[in-house]
Amino acid sequence: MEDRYLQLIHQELDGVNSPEEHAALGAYLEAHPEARQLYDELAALSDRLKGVPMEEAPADLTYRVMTAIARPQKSPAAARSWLPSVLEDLRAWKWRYALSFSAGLAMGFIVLVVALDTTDNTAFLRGVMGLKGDVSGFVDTDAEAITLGSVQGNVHVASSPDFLRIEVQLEAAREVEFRIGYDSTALAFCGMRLSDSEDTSVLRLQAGEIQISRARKGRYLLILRGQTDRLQPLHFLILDGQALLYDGMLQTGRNR
Amino acid sequence: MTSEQEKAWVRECREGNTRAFEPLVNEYKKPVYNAALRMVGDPDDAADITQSVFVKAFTKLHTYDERYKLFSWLYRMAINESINFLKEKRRFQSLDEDVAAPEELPEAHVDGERLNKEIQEGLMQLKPDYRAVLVLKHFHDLSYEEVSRVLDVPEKTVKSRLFTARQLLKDVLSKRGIR
Repeated sequence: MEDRYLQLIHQELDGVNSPEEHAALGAYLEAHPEARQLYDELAALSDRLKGVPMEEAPADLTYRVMTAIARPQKSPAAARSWLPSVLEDLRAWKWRYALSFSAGLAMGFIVLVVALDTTDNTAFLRGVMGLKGDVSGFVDTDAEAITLGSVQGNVHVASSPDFLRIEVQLEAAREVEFRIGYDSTALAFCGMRLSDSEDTSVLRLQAGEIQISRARKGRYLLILRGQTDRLQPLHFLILDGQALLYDGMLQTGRNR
Repeated sequence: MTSEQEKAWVRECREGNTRAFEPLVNEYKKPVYNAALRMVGDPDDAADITQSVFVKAFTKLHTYDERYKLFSWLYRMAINESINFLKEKRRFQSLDEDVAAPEELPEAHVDGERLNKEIQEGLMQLKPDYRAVLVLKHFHDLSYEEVSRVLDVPEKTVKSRLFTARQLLKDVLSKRGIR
Protein backbone atom coordinates (compact mmCIF):
# COMPACT_ATOMS: atom_id res chain seq x y z
CA MET A 1 0.00 0.00 0.00
CA GLU A 2 1.24 3.46 -0.81
CA ASP A 3 2.45 5.39 2.23
CA ARG A 4 0.23 8.32 1.30
CA TYR A 5 -2.93 6.22 1.63
CA LEU A 6 -1.71 4.58 4.82
CA GLN A 7 -1.32 8.05 6.26
CA LEU A 8 -4.76 9.05 5.02
CA ILE A 9 -6.26 5.97 6.71
CA HIS A 10 -4.78 6.98 10.06
CA GLN A 11 -5.74 10.62 9.60
CA GLU A 12 -9.28 9.53 8.71
CA LEU A 13 -9.46 7.63 12.01
CA ASP A 14 -8.31 10.77 13.81
CA GLY A 15 -10.86 12.90 11.96
CA VAL A 16 -8.34 15.30 10.47
CA ASN A 17 -8.62 14.58 6.73
CA SER A 18 -9.73 17.44 4.51
CA PRO A 19 -12.82 16.82 2.27
CA GLU A 20 -10.45 16.23 -0.66
CA GLU A 21 -8.36 13.74 1.29
CA HIS A 22 -11.51 12.01 2.54
CA ALA A 23 -12.77 11.63 -1.03
CA ALA A 24 -9.39 10.40 -2.29
CA LEU A 25 -9.21 7.80 0.45
CA GLY A 26 -12.80 6.66 -0.24
CA ALA A 27 -11.95 6.05 -3.88
CA TYR A 28 -8.75 4.21 -2.98
CA LEU A 29 -10.50 1.94 -0.45
CA GLU A 30 -13.16 1.17 -3.04
CA ALA A 31 -10.51 -0.04 -5.44
CA HIS A 32 -8.25 -1.84 -2.93
CA PRO A 33 -9.95 -4.47 -0.74
CA GLU A 34 -6.79 -5.10 1.34
CA ALA A 35 -6.65 -1.38 2.18
CA ARG A 36 -10.35 -1.47 3.06
CA GLN A 37 -9.71 -4.41 5.39
CA LEU A 38 -6.87 -2.58 7.12
CA TYR A 39 -9.02 0.51 7.49
CA ASP A 40 -11.89 -1.53 8.99
CA GLU A 41 -9.56 -3.28 11.44
CA LEU A 42 -7.96 -0.05 12.58
CA ALA A 43 -11.36 1.63 12.87
CA ALA A 44 -12.55 -1.27 15.06
CA LEU A 45 -9.44 -0.90 17.21
CA SER A 46 -9.99 2.82 17.50
CA ASP A 47 -13.61 2.27 18.60
CA ARG A 48 -12.51 -0.31 21.17
CA LEU A 49 -9.95 2.04 22.66
CA LYS A 50 -12.51 4.82 22.87
CA GLY A 51 -14.90 2.39 24.58
CA VAL A 52 -12.52 1.72 27.49
CA PRO A 53 -14.03 3.61 30.43
CA MET A 54 -12.08 6.00 32.66
CA GLU A 55 -11.41 4.52 36.08
CA GLU A 56 -12.21 6.50 39.20
CA ALA A 57 -9.14 7.76 41.04
CA PRO A 58 -8.76 6.36 44.58
CA ALA A 59 -11.02 8.11 47.06
CA ASP A 60 -8.19 9.27 49.31
CA LEU A 61 -5.96 10.63 46.54
CA THR A 62 -6.76 14.29 47.20
CA TYR A 63 -6.12 13.77 50.89
CA ARG A 64 -2.80 12.05 50.14
CA VAL A 65 -1.69 14.91 47.91
CA MET A 66 -2.82 17.66 50.28
CA THR A 67 -1.17 15.95 53.25
CA ALA A 68 2.03 15.45 51.27
CA ILE A 69 2.27 19.09 50.19
CA ALA A 70 1.64 20.24 53.75
CA ARG A 71 4.84 18.45 54.80
CA PRO A 72 8.33 19.68 54.11
CA GLN A 73 9.23 18.52 50.62
CA LYS A 74 11.83 15.79 50.41
CA SER A 75 13.61 14.22 47.50
CA PRO A 76 12.05 10.90 46.40
CA ALA A 77 15.00 9.04 47.86
CA ALA A 78 14.62 10.83 51.17
CA ALA A 79 10.88 10.27 51.13
CA ARG A 80 11.40 6.52 50.76
CA SER A 81 13.76 6.55 53.67
CA TRP A 82 11.05 7.04 56.30
CA LEU A 83 12.73 5.28 59.21
CA PRO A 84 15.49 7.79 59.97
CA SER A 85 13.02 10.67 59.96
CA VAL A 86 10.57 8.84 62.24
CA LEU A 87 13.36 7.98 64.67
CA GLU A 88 14.64 11.53 64.51
CA ASP A 89 11.15 12.88 65.28
CA LEU A 90 10.78 10.40 68.12
CA ARG A 91 14.08 11.41 69.69
CA ALA A 92 13.24 15.08 69.32
CA TRP A 93 9.85 14.73 70.90
CA LYS A 94 11.07 12.69 73.85
CA TRP A 95 13.20 15.72 74.70
CA ARG A 96 10.20 17.93 74.39
CA TYR A 97 8.25 15.66 76.71
CA ALA A 98 10.94 16.11 79.31
CA LEU A 99 10.90 19.84 78.84
CA SER A 100 7.13 19.92 79.11
CA PHE A 101 7.17 18.06 82.43
CA SER A 102 10.01 20.02 83.95
CA ALA A 103 8.53 23.35 82.93
CA GLY A 104 5.41 22.48 84.89
CA LEU A 105 3.00 23.04 82.08
CA ALA A 106 0.36 21.09 83.97
CA MET A 107 0.30 18.52 81.27
CA GLY A 108 2.09 15.25 81.23
CA PHE A 109 1.99 12.36 78.95
CA ILE A 110 2.90 8.86 79.88
CA VAL A 111 3.86 6.60 77.12
CA LEU A 112 2.67 3.17 78.12
CA VAL A 113 3.59 1.29 75.06
CA VAL A 114 5.55 2.65 72.19
CA ALA A 115 6.96 0.33 69.67
CA LEU A 116 8.09 0.66 66.14
CA ASP A 117 6.16 -1.59 63.82
CA THR A 118 8.72 -3.25 61.62
CA THR A 119 6.41 -5.80 60.10
CA ASP A 120 5.19 -3.77 57.18
CA ASN A 121 6.46 -1.17 54.79
CA THR A 122 4.62 1.74 56.29
CA ALA A 123 5.90 0.90 59.77
CA PHE A 124 4.22 3.61 61.75
CA LEU A 125 4.83 4.32 65.36
CA ARG A 126 2.18 2.41 67.27
CA GLY A 127 1.17 2.67 70.85
CA VAL A 128 -1.18 3.78 73.56
CA MET A 129 -0.67 7.03 75.38
CA GLY A 130 -2.27 8.41 78.49
CA LEU A 131 -2.76 12.07 79.25
CA LYS A 132 -2.51 13.34 82.85
CA GLY A 133 -3.63 16.65 84.19
CA ASP A 134 -5.76 19.39 82.75
CA VAL A 135 -4.98 21.78 79.99
CA SER A 136 -6.53 25.22 80.19
CA GLY A 137 -6.49 28.42 78.21
CA PHE A 138 -7.83 26.91 75.00
CA VAL A 139 -9.96 28.88 72.57
CA ASP A 140 -12.32 27.07 70.21
CA THR A 141 -11.30 27.54 66.59
CA ASP A 142 -13.51 25.15 64.65
CA ALA A 143 -16.25 22.58 65.10
CA GLU A 144 -17.84 20.21 62.63
CA ALA A 145 -20.78 17.88 63.07
CA ILE A 146 -20.41 14.47 61.45
CA THR A 147 -23.73 13.15 60.19
CA LEU A 148 -22.97 10.40 57.74
CA GLY A 149 -25.66 7.81 58.27
CA SER A 150 -23.33 5.04 59.40
CA VAL A 151 -21.10 7.47 61.34
CA GLN A 152 -22.30 10.16 63.70
CA GLY A 153 -20.34 12.51 65.92
CA ASN A 154 -18.48 15.76 65.98
CA VAL A 155 -15.01 17.19 65.94
CA HIS A 156 -13.81 20.25 67.86
CA VAL A 157 -10.55 22.10 67.48
CA ALA A 158 -9.19 24.49 70.10
CA SER A 159 -5.85 26.19 70.50
CA SER A 160 -3.78 27.66 73.30
CA PRO A 161 -0.55 29.60 72.83
CA ASP A 162 1.48 26.38 72.66
CA PHE A 163 -0.94 23.57 71.98
CA LEU A 164 -3.65 22.47 69.64
CA ARG A 165 -6.42 20.24 70.95
CA ILE A 166 -8.55 18.09 68.66
CA GLU A 167 -11.50 16.33 70.16
CA VAL A 168 -13.29 13.72 68.10
CA GLN A 169 -16.49 12.09 69.27
CA LEU A 170 -17.54 9.18 67.10
CA GLU A 171 -20.22 6.58 66.99
CA ALA A 172 -20.08 4.31 63.96
CA ALA A 173 -22.13 1.33 62.87
CA ARG A 174 -18.87 -0.53 62.20
CA GLU A 175 -15.19 0.12 62.62
CA VAL A 176 -13.87 3.08 60.66
CA GLU A 177 -10.59 4.90 60.39
CA PHE A 178 -10.06 8.60 60.81
CA ARG A 179 -6.99 10.59 59.87
CA ILE A 180 -5.80 14.02 60.77
CA GLY A 181 -3.24 15.57 58.49
CA TYR A 182 -1.24 18.50 59.78
CA ASP A 183 1.70 20.63 58.82
CA SER A 184 4.59 18.78 60.47
CA THR A 185 6.85 21.80 60.09
CA ALA A 186 4.59 23.66 62.51
CA LEU A 187 2.99 20.99 64.71
CA ALA A 188 4.02 17.79 66.41
CA PHE A 189 1.96 15.12 68.06
CA CYS A 190 2.15 15.19 71.86
CA GLY A 191 -0.44 12.81 73.21
CA MET A 192 -3.84 11.27 73.08
CA ARG A 193 -6.56 10.32 75.51
CA LEU A 194 -9.27 7.86 74.66
CA SER A 195 -12.37 7.73 76.83
CA ASP A 196 -15.89 6.32 76.77
CA SER A 197 -14.59 3.90 74.25
CA GLU A 198 -16.09 0.59 73.29
CA ASP A 199 -13.51 -0.14 70.66
CA THR A 200 -9.90 -1.23 70.41
CA SER A 201 -8.56 1.62 68.34
CA VAL A 202 -5.07 1.59 66.95
CA LEU A 203 -3.06 4.78 66.81
CA ARG A 204 -0.56 5.17 64.01
CA LEU A 205 1.72 8.12 63.57
CA GLN A 206 3.85 9.36 60.77
CA ALA A 207 5.22 12.79 60.06
CA GLY A 208 2.28 15.04 59.37
CA GLU A 209 -0.45 12.51 59.94
CA ILE A 210 -2.31 10.84 62.79
CA GLN A 211 -4.28 7.74 61.89
CA ILE A 212 -6.74 6.08 64.21
CA SER A 213 -8.09 2.85 62.85
CA ARG A 214 -10.62 0.38 64.21
CA ALA A 215 -12.55 3.28 65.72
CA ARG A 216 -16.19 2.56 66.49
CA LYS A 217 -17.44 4.44 69.49
CA GLY A 218 -15.46 6.76 71.64
CA ARG A 219 -14.13 10.18 72.47
CA TYR A 220 -10.62 10.86 71.29
CA LEU A 221 -8.62 13.77 72.60
CA LEU A 222 -5.48 14.55 70.63
CA ILE A 223 -2.90 17.15 71.57
CA LEU A 224 -0.39 18.69 69.21
CA ARG A 225 2.20 21.25 70.03
CA GLY A 226 2.64 24.26 67.81
CA GLN A 227 6.12 25.16 66.70
CA THR A 228 5.58 28.34 64.76
CA ASP A 229 3.30 31.32 64.72
CA ARG A 230 1.40 30.34 61.61
CA LEU A 231 -0.54 27.11 61.27
CA GLN A 232 -2.19 25.58 58.24
CA PRO A 233 -5.68 24.10 58.64
CA LEU A 234 -5.91 20.45 59.59
CA HIS A 235 -7.11 17.89 57.08
CA PHE A 236 -9.66 15.56 58.61
CA LEU A 237 -11.11 12.52 56.95
CA ILE A 238 -13.00 9.37 57.79
CA LEU A 239 -12.66 6.16 55.80
CA ASP A 240 -14.58 2.94 55.78
CA GLY A 241 -12.08 0.54 54.26
CA GLN A 242 -11.12 2.16 50.95
CA ALA A 243 -14.27 4.29 50.82
CA LEU A 244 -13.88 7.92 51.77
CA LEU A 245 -16.80 8.94 53.99
CA TYR A 246 -15.75 12.42 55.06
CA ASP A 247 -13.11 14.84 53.82
CA GLY A 248 -12.85 18.31 55.30
CA MET A 249 -10.52 21.00 56.55
CA LEU A 250 -10.48 22.22 60.15
CA GLN A 251 -9.38 25.72 61.02
CA THR A 252 -6.68 26.05 63.63
CA GLY A 253 -7.20 29.78 64.10
CA ARG A 254 -3.63 30.26 65.14
CA ASN A 255 -1.97 33.46 64.09
CA ARG A 256 0.10 34.78 66.91
CA MET B 1 -13.82 24.81 36.23
CA THR B 2 -13.32 27.71 33.83
CA SER B 3 -9.92 28.75 32.56
CA GLU B 4 -10.12 31.95 34.62
CA GLN B 5 -10.97 30.06 37.82
CA GLU B 6 -8.08 27.71 37.13
CA LYS B 7 -5.67 30.60 36.69
CA ALA B 8 -6.94 32.16 39.91
CA TRP B 9 -6.28 28.94 41.85
CA VAL B 10 -2.82 28.67 40.33
CA ARG B 11 -2.04 32.27 41.33
CA GLU B 12 -3.24 31.63 44.89
CA CYS B 13 -1.05 28.53 45.12
CA ARG B 14 1.93 30.53 43.93
CA GLU B 15 1.22 33.07 46.65
CA GLY B 16 1.47 30.30 49.24
CA ASN B 17 -2.14 29.27 49.74
CA THR B 18 -1.80 25.49 49.93
CA ARG B 19 -5.56 24.96 50.07
CA ALA B 20 -6.01 26.53 46.65
CA PHE B 21 -4.33 23.47 45.20
CA GLU B 22 -7.16 21.18 46.33
CA PRO B 23 -9.68 22.16 43.60
CA LEU B 24 -6.96 21.67 40.99
CA VAL B 25 -6.24 18.18 42.32
CA ASN B 26 -9.95 17.37 42.31
CA GLU B 27 -10.30 18.64 38.75
CA TYR B 28 -7.40 16.70 37.26
CA LYS B 29 -6.84 13.68 39.48
CA LYS B 30 -9.03 11.41 37.36
CA PRO B 31 -7.40 12.06 33.96
CA VAL B 32 -3.89 12.08 35.46
CA TYR B 33 -4.59 8.83 37.33
CA ASN B 34 -5.99 7.24 34.17
CA ALA B 35 -3.01 8.32 32.08
CA ALA B 36 -0.68 6.76 34.66
CA LEU B 37 -2.87 3.66 34.92
CA ARG B 38 -2.77 3.05 31.15
CA MET B 39 0.98 3.62 31.15
CA VAL B 40 1.93 1.32 34.06
CA GLY B 41 -1.04 -1.04 34.21
CA ASP B 42 -1.29 -1.29 38.01
CA PRO B 43 -3.83 0.75 40.05
CA ASP B 44 -1.61 1.09 43.14
CA ASP B 45 1.41 2.18 41.11
CA ALA B 46 -0.81 4.59 39.16
CA ALA B 47 -2.09 6.11 42.42
CA ASP B 48 1.48 6.58 43.70
CA ILE B 49 2.52 8.16 40.40
CA THR B 50 -0.51 10.48 40.45
CA GLN B 51 0.31 11.59 43.98
CA SER B 52 3.90 12.21 42.97
CA VAL B 53 2.80 14.19 39.90
CA PHE B 54 0.62 16.54 41.94
CA VAL B 55 3.22 17.01 44.66
CA LYS B 56 5.83 17.86 42.02
CA ALA B 57 3.34 20.10 40.23
CA PHE B 58 2.77 22.03 43.44
CA THR B 59 6.46 22.46 44.16
CA LYS B 60 7.22 23.46 40.55
CA LEU B 61 4.18 25.60 39.97
CA HIS B 62 6.40 28.66 39.57
CA THR B 63 7.80 27.06 36.39
CA TYR B 64 4.36 26.49 34.82
CA ASP B 65 3.78 28.72 31.80
CA GLU B 66 0.20 29.96 31.94
CA ARG B 67 0.07 30.43 28.18
CA TYR B 68 -0.41 26.67 27.95
CA LYS B 69 -3.14 24.53 29.42
CA LEU B 70 -2.54 23.16 32.88
CA PHE B 71 -3.64 19.68 31.86
CA SER B 72 -0.90 19.53 29.19
CA TRP B 73 1.66 20.29 31.87
CA LEU B 74 0.19 17.68 34.25
CA TYR B 75 -0.08 15.06 31.50
CA ARG B 76 3.54 15.64 30.59
CA MET B 77 4.57 15.02 34.18
CA ALA B 78 2.30 11.97 34.39
CA ILE B 79 3.78 10.42 31.24
CA ASN B 80 7.38 11.22 32.25
CA GLU B 81 6.83 9.96 35.79
CA SER B 82 5.27 6.76 34.42
CA ILE B 83 8.12 6.19 31.97
CA ASN B 84 10.68 6.74 34.74
CA PHE B 85 8.76 4.33 36.96
CA LEU B 86 8.75 1.70 34.20
CA LYS B 87 12.49 2.12 33.60
CA GLU B 88 13.15 1.68 37.30
CA LYS B 89 10.86 -1.34 37.45
CA ARG B 90 12.46 -2.86 34.38
CA ARG B 91 15.83 -2.84 36.12
CA PHE B 92 14.44 -5.32 38.60
CA GLN B 93 12.52 -7.49 36.16
CA SER B 94 13.84 -10.94 35.47
CA LEU B 95 14.87 -11.85 31.97
CA ASP B 96 12.10 -14.44 31.86
CA GLU B 97 9.42 -11.84 32.54
CA ASP B 98 11.04 -9.49 30.06
CA VAL B 99 10.81 -11.80 27.08
CA ALA B 100 7.60 -13.61 27.93
CA ALA B 101 5.63 -14.18 24.75
CA PRO B 102 2.02 -13.08 24.65
CA GLU B 103 -0.49 -15.82 25.16
CA GLU B 104 -2.15 -16.64 21.86
CA LEU B 105 -5.85 -17.07 22.28
CA PRO B 106 -8.51 -18.43 19.95
CA GLU B 107 -10.69 -15.81 18.36
CA ALA B 108 -13.82 -15.52 20.42
CA HIS B 109 -16.41 -13.12 21.61
CA VAL B 110 -15.08 -11.30 24.64
CA ASP B 111 -17.15 -9.36 27.10
CA GLY B 112 -16.44 -5.72 27.90
CA GLU B 113 -14.47 -6.34 31.05
CA ARG B 114 -12.23 -8.93 29.49
CA LEU B 115 -11.80 -6.80 26.40
CA ASN B 116 -10.62 -3.89 28.52
CA LYS B 117 -8.17 -6.20 30.28
CA GLU B 118 -6.89 -7.52 26.96
CA ILE B 119 -6.45 -3.99 25.66
CA GLN B 120 -4.49 -3.01 28.76
CA GLU B 121 -2.30 -6.10 28.48
CA GLY B 122 -1.83 -5.36 24.78
CA LEU B 123 -0.80 -1.80 25.58
CA MET B 124 1.73 -3.08 28.11
CA GLN B 125 3.48 -5.00 25.33
CA LEU B 126 4.23 -1.83 23.41
CA LYS B 127 7.21 0.39 24.07
CA PRO B 128 6.32 3.23 26.48
CA ASP B 129 6.77 5.83 23.72
CA TYR B 130 4.15 4.12 21.56
CA ARG B 131 1.91 3.51 24.56
CA ALA B 132 2.05 7.17 25.49
CA VAL B 133 0.76 8.41 22.12
CA LEU B 134 -2.08 5.89 22.12
CA VAL B 135 -3.04 6.79 25.68
CA LEU B 136 -3.09 10.52 24.98
CA LYS B 137 -4.79 10.27 21.59
CA HIS B 138 -7.35 7.54 22.19
CA PHE B 139 -8.05 7.59 25.93
CA HIS B 140 -7.75 11.32 26.47
CA ASP B 141 -8.74 12.51 23.00
CA LEU B 142 -5.91 15.00 22.64
CA SER B 143 -5.15 16.57 19.25
CA TYR B 144 -1.83 15.96 17.46
CA GLU B 145 -0.75 19.42 18.60
CA GLU B 146 -1.62 18.73 22.24
CA VAL B 147 0.12 15.34 22.19
CA SER B 148 3.11 17.04 20.63
CA ARG B 149 3.22 19.56 23.47
CA VAL B 150 2.77 16.95 26.18
CA LEU B 151 5.48 14.67 24.82
CA ASP B 152 7.68 17.53 23.67
CA VAL B 153 8.17 16.05 20.21
CA PRO B 154 7.24 17.46 16.77
CA GLU B 155 3.74 16.76 15.42
CA LYS B 156 5.31 14.77 12.63
CA THR B 157 6.83 12.44 15.21
CA VAL B 158 3.48 12.16 17.00
CA LYS B 159 1.80 11.04 13.79
CA SER B 160 4.53 8.60 12.93
CA ARG B 161 4.52 7.05 16.42
CA LEU B 162 0.74 6.95 16.54
CA PHE B 163 0.40 5.20 13.20
CA THR B 164 3.03 2.62 14.13
CA ALA B 165 1.56 2.16 17.61
CA ARG B 166 -1.92 1.50 16.24
CA GLN B 167 -0.62 -1.08 13.83
CA LEU B 168 1.41 -2.78 16.58
CA LEU B 169 -1.49 -2.84 19.02
CA LYS B 170 -3.78 -4.21 16.33
CA ASP B 171 -1.29 -7.02 15.70
CA VAL B 172 -0.82 -7.74 19.42
CA LEU B 173 -4.57 -7.90 20.03
CA SER B 174 -5.05 -9.99 16.93
CA LYS B 175 -2.61 -12.55 18.37
CA ARG B 176 -4.70 -12.54 21.53
CA GLY B 177 -7.78 -13.41 19.51
CA ILE B 178 -9.24 -9.92 19.31
CA ARG B 179 -9.91 -8.64 15.84
